Amino acid sequence: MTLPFAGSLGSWMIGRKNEKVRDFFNIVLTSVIFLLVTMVFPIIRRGEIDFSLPHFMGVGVDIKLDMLRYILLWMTTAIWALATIYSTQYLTRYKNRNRYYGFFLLTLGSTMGVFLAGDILSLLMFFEVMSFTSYVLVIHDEDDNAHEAGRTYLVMAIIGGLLLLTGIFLLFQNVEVLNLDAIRLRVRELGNIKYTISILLILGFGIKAGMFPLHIWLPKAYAASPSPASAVLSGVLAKTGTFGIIITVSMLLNDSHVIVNLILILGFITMFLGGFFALFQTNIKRILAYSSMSQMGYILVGIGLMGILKEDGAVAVQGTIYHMFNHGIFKGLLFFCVGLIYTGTHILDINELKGFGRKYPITGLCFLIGLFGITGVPGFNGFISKSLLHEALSEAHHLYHSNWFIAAEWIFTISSGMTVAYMLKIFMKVFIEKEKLENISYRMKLCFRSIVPTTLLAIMIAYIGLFPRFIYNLMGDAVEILGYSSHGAGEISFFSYGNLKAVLLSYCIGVGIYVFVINGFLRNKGGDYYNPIPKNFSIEKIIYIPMGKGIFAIGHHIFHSLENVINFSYNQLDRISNVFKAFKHDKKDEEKEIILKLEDVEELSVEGRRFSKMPSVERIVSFSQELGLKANSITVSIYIFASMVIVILLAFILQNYNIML
Amino acid sequence: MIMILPIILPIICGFLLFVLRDRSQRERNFLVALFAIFNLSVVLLILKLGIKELHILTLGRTLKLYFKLDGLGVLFTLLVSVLWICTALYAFVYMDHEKDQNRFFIFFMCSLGVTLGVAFSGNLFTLYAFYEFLTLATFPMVIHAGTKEAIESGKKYLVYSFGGAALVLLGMIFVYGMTGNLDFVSHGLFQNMKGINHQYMFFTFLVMFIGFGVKAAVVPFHSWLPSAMVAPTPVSSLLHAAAVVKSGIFALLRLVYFIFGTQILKELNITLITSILAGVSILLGSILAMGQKNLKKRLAYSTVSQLGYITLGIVLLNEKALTGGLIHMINHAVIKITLFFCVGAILVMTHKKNVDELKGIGKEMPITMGCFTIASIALIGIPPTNGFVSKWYLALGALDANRILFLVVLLISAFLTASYLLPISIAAFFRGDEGKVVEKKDPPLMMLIPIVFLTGIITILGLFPNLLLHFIKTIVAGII
Repeated sequence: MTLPFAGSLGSWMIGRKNEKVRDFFNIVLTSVIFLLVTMVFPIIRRGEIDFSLPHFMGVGVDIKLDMLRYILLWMTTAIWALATIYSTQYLTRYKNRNRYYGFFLLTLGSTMGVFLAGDILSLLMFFEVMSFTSYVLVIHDEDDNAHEAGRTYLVMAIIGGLLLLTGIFLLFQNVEVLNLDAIRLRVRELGNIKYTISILLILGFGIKAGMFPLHIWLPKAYAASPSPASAVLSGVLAKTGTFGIIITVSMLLNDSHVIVNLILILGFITMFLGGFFALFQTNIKRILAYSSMSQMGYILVGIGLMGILKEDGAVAVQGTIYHMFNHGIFKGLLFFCVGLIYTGTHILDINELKGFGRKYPITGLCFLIGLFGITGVPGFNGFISKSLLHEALSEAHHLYHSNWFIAAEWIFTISSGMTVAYMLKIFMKVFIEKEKLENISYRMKLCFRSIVPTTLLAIMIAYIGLFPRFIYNLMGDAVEILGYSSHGAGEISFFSYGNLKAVLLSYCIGVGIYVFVINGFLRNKGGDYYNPIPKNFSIEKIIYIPMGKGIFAIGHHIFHSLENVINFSYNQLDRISNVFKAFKHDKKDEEKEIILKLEDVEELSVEGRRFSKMPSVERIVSFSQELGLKANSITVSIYIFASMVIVILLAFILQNYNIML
Repeated sequence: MIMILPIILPIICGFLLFVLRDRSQRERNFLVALFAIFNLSVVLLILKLGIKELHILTLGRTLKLYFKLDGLGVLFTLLVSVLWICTALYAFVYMDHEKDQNRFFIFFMCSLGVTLGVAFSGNLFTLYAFYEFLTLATFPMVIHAGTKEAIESGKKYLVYSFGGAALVLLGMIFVYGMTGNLDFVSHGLFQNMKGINHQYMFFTFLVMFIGFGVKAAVVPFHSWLPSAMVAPTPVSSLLHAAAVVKSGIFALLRLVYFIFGTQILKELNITLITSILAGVSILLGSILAMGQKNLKKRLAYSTVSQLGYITLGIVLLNEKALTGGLIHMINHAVIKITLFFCVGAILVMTHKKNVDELKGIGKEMPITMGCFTIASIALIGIPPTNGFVSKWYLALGALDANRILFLVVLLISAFLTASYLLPISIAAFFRGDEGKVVEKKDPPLMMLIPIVFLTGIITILGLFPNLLLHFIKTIVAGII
């Protein structure tokens, strides 16, 4: 894990001298990290790794690696290595490449840190470092759009960090240990404060995970950052949020239904809204960003189910982790594909890209595989995890027989349908439809270095889809780590009738939405799509920003007036002391003073118009400031404080008198 | 007798500077640096020898000038000595574009002696005396520019400081009246006094708290601090980071833990008032900082807020909070001085002093702004920086005292801190004209060394705070 941190510095140094060497160095470094992580695998199968660096950060840092963490870690390093290879091609025409690679590696290091952290404080530390280093990736373009996205991202990240911190403070105060396992053991001693803590932690992590009312940064940031960065942001970084929520749920909420239900409901809302908004977008990256939000919704639903099903939650856990893994891969792939298009054209609007992809069958094929993956076509990886989640949902339905779960199932299916619809929208428009103007020639040279990672991910998707057992079996270990018994695991047949039917149903809905809604309503006469949602319609602009501004304005007003009062009283004292001075000085001075004052008054009347516009308090303040300037500082201070001391003495004597009485 | 040296030496240096005022700038700088470093070595020697006490003179029967060096004093002494050397190096270059350099350095060295006097003082009377001297020694530096505005704010500074000192004097008389003694005793002078009227003590504490609180910029007595920003940057950084405000904090520590003691204060039920004052300081400072366009003023309000953290740590009266307060005293000093140095470097190199002029400046001065960013992140308290360590202890202290409200205040303030500091770094690094030929304008080495050195300290204190933490914990264990 220290490799990326050291490496980022190295890469920066090398890059200043020679770009090619740096690119090569980066590729080698990330690949080595990936290989190292892969090589650790046999050790992990035997048992978990645990070690700690005492004295670091005062309390020491625990590093822990078990199966659950390993799966996520492997995914992280794999996608990162591929993204690095990809970046070397994608970024050739960008500026500040050195900075990009430096922070890319730093982000890798901190993301690995999040997954490896064995105590909650280092988890928080890596989480924060990750937020800050990835910020640099988000605003890499340095245009207004990127800056706006970056600002939202940063503000949300900081708020998230503070929520987490609050939660951790309360937790530490009550359990007095930081190690995650130790906390789990002592959690029973917690009273109701447990719920407050877990809500804080879930909100904090939920921001990163793009959970519903906190998702505002997500579409902006993913759309604004360079494609490989979007791929890791969406594919990996968002997972740190869900990882955190999983930790919280398994650590704190073994018996609470309310909060788990809340996660479930928020998950469904996220899932649905993400898909819903994705339907309307015309910018490819924004579609994918909303799609990420929707997929994060699936993961949240999985976590919610995990809490609800309790001991029987093995399926939900497997589904959740599997989906995290899969989403990382296929969303990485999709963003890579979009990046390929963007390198050649610098266009992201699907209307302008119409028919562009017809000339690029490899990109098209990869995109199609990604599409199959995300929509859950049997034989591709998304199918496996979605089936697992679906299984868990129906299990919950069996267990509780609540009508809500029927509604939930419908939302689940419709969301899947919407996934199909918006992915089809891109695919049909970009890769299938005929080009509008034949003579546009895009100069696009697909380079080996960017095709390879893309195809590798595509192959991975298909491989996992066809042979799900291998990773599935690893999940069994992960399940036990979270404290669920893994019995019942392994009995699921993926290609059962029910699962296939669900996929078919969602496909029908999806195609239906595509044909009737997208093609029916969202096209104008020229066949172009348009976005009917007004530009300023977002929770951020309607609620958060005015609210934030309002609170800030109120706070500012209160404190500003407090400050004004303080200054005013200071100036008044100053003025009174002036009067004293006037008495004390001989007549000549006094006259002078009076004349001066008269001049002031005249000045004031000359400038009366200006002054009359000022509020009365300010006018007096400025008047007394004028007077104050003419006073001798030392005498003033002596007078003021003689009088202050006298007042205080008087007060004290009076009080003492009372006591004596 | 060696104990008086650190206080006398700088003053001798100031005197020498006055005598040798016609010599070249080089020689003067050399002299100042020599004395500052020599002073630090004398301090270290004293620590090594383990000298603890020195009676200087006795006025009347019990009123005496008396030095005593305990853990707290050592902490403050080291902080001051080290920061002073950094500032001296920095000021050599910075003051080049100012007039009356000699006057500046004379008072600069005198203030060092006086501040160390504050740190060494063994009873309230000595503390009070040096506290007054400090105001006088720093006043000429505040009005250094000599403009109308500078004189005006100098006056404000004097008025507030003397006002505070007058209150302290009043309180001191009361304390003497009650106990017949002014020595600092750990666990409190009042600890073993029986039968003292509580209302009487309550009043005394309040008066003295306000008196010292003026220098510690506790709202509503903070307004001298932003005004004093007209002073040259090395002065502001010293005022803010090392000498003046931290003397206020130090005096508050002495007052709370060595005169009154936690036991008594808990009985007096006064902490609610004082901690609310601290909380208001925290919020007011950070909210008003956001509204400031001038960089130095923004930092000044930020100091008000950060001093609120420290004061809060002091008045919550439990071990964790005090640890947090003490460690934040050190951390804030180091962080804020770095921030001021960076701002000063920008001012010298580019003559920019407003926040909105800073677009793209990070590309011109990468090292300076890099240090600025690290310091900002540390001030916000993002792990793994030293600001986080102090926030951690302060927050736990607030929870220990069952005041969750203050936890919320701390975190809101952290958010506000982020929103008034980070945009500066962001604008500096990530905005700016495309394709403009970037000219590297990092300040001269003499300025850069202190900045980088202090940033290094920030990082080290963040990654490995244990060394400092152990020391502070032993201090805390001794006085609470």
